[in-house]
Amino acid sequence: MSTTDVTDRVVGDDGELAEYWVPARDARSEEMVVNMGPQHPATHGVLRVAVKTDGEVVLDCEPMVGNLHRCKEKIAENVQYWQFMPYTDRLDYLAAMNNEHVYARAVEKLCSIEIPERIQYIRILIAELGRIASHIFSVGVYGLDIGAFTPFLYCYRERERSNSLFEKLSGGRMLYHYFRVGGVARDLSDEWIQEAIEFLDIVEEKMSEYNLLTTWNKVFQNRTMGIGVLTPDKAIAFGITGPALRASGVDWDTRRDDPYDIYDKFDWKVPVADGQHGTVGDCWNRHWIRAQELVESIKICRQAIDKMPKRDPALTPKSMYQPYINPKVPRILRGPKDAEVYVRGENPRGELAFYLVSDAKNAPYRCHIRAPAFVNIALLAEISRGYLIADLVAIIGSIDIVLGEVDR
Amino acid sequence: MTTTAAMTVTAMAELLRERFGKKVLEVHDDDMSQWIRLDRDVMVEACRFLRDDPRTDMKMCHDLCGVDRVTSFEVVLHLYSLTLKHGCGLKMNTASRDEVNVPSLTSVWPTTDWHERETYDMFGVIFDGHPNLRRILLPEDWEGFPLRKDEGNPLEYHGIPSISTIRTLEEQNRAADDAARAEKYGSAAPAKKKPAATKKPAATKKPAAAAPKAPGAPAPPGAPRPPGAPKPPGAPRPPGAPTPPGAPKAPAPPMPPGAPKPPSPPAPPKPPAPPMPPSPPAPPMPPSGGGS
Repeated sequence: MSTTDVTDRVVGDDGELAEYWVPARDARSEEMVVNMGPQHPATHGVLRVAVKTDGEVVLDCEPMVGNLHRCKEKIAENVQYWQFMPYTDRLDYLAAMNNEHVYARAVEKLCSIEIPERIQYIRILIAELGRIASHIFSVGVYGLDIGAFTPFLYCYRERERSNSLFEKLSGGRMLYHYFRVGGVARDLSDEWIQEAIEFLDIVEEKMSEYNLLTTWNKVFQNRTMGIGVLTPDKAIAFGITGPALRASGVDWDTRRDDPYDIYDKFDWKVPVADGQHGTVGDCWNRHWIRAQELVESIKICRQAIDKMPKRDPALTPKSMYQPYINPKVPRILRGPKDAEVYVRGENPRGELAFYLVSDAKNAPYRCHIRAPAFVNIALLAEISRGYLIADLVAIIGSIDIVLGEVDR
Repeated sequence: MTTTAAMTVTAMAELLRERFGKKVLEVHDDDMSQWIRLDRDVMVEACRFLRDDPRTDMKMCHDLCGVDRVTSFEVVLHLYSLTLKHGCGLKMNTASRDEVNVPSLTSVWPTTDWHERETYDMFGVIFDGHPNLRRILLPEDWEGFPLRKDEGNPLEYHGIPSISTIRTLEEQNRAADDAARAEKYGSAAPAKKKPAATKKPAATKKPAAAAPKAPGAPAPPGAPRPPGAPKPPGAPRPPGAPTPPGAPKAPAPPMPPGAPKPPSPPAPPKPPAPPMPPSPPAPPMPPSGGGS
């Protein structure tokens, strides 16, 4: 890459941002390679980025993953289908419920298991609450990444509530193991639903607070607008999914466009970046999409609570230790012979997918995990060339990776 | 116009057959999964066709992974169209377990870069034409490909013993302990050569009826089950003391007598690994610049 390319990129195409980037031209000295991470707090875990810099300008960078590799795909081949459920919690540990949801759906498709309607509603409610909890954390922690400590504390106040909410449900604060093949661990009590409604009220009320602290904050906008611009074509070619794809102006959400479970019964809107603020595909838009998705998830949760069918006495387990599942689920799950499924679901960080190959045993022959963060972080070099090192941190934060999922 | 409608995988296979004929090897289309198996020679061209043709418009490569199919390795892609809202799987196989070369698809979809690196990392499939085929999740100097079905457990990595090595060591230690104990107190096996009178078994004073039988011996009919063998009075018998012939049987020690275990088998040797692929090209950037 020639020097002029970098300068052009730093200035930006529209010239409007040039005033911000005038210092960047002078911030160059000589080329060197700097290691960022794996213990860097802004890399969201044990991500190591080798950055080729020229002064303050990033010429090239390469994310190096694998520090948290835990052989999940190999473990899956050695445990039974239902036993792998707790391992999926540890993929994207900030949205453990959503991981379980996708895995449960994959096994159910493989074993042809039907889900009763009330459990479908419970699953949607729990998955969307998980998305809210994850997005609250992402929104807050993104402020922390670029130097604003306050939003993190404000957002963590609500994340704490959601943790307690899930703790009452499953016993775990981060890693839940609440979903089961064919259902969930236990039914929702009326008191719990009341608490969930209170939680939704609080989050809805506090959204303006978060937005004032981050989204509409002038300092925040200067740090994120026009940075790390990802064009729609490039986003699709690089397999980007989730909020990052929608922030690039691609109107795609698996929940709406390839609906699974009962998502087609709800009325909500998929937020897509429209270029009213900032540049389409920049860091600010990725953040703004997440903040908007929070509000949309609250809508889905409220509808799920309203429409949830009454308890079915036939479903109620005889003992409190039995899971709340379809009673027809066999005790030993066996996949059919020579079958395979590829099931994807919209997670807070993109589309998580499980590819299960079965050979008529009670464990999968092959279990591949398509982790959204793994695909999204591969793009890092493409969108960070030419920006400053401080912007690199903003870009990593806006992609919103979780290393448990990248490294599996 | 049919160009804007979602297609079934069977229809897509027809499109591919028109173009590639016999190179479309297999089509699978049911509720569970939909995929087309293609010859690896035409894979890049077929992928480019599926991506660019307005009837298929597979702009997004969702996933690429490997599967160990015993005789060969299978590379599976999952493609989706964001505009037509359909998708399909594509498969290609390596020639055999030893000839593991398939064409790289990074020229069609850049997202397959890391997926192919991961597949190489886990299965050892070589993607010809990949710009940077190195290990990604495992360390650079790792040997073997862990998701292959014939891959054994590694014994150690940089002096860190693996779990199988630790288990073997534990077993060896236990065997050594047992052997030491047997030497100290005498054991059943060598005792047969020794004179049996050196130790008068205290158990002779015991009522014979209460003596439990050795495990596995058939109980005589009518003999009551010993309600817990009473301890013989006098000095405690060392476990595994020889029993003189004719004497009533002493209660078997709870632990197996200190006979040394047969020497534990050595750590399972790794199965003969397929020949290592040629070392991948060097990284374009020095990975550890600062090395702080």
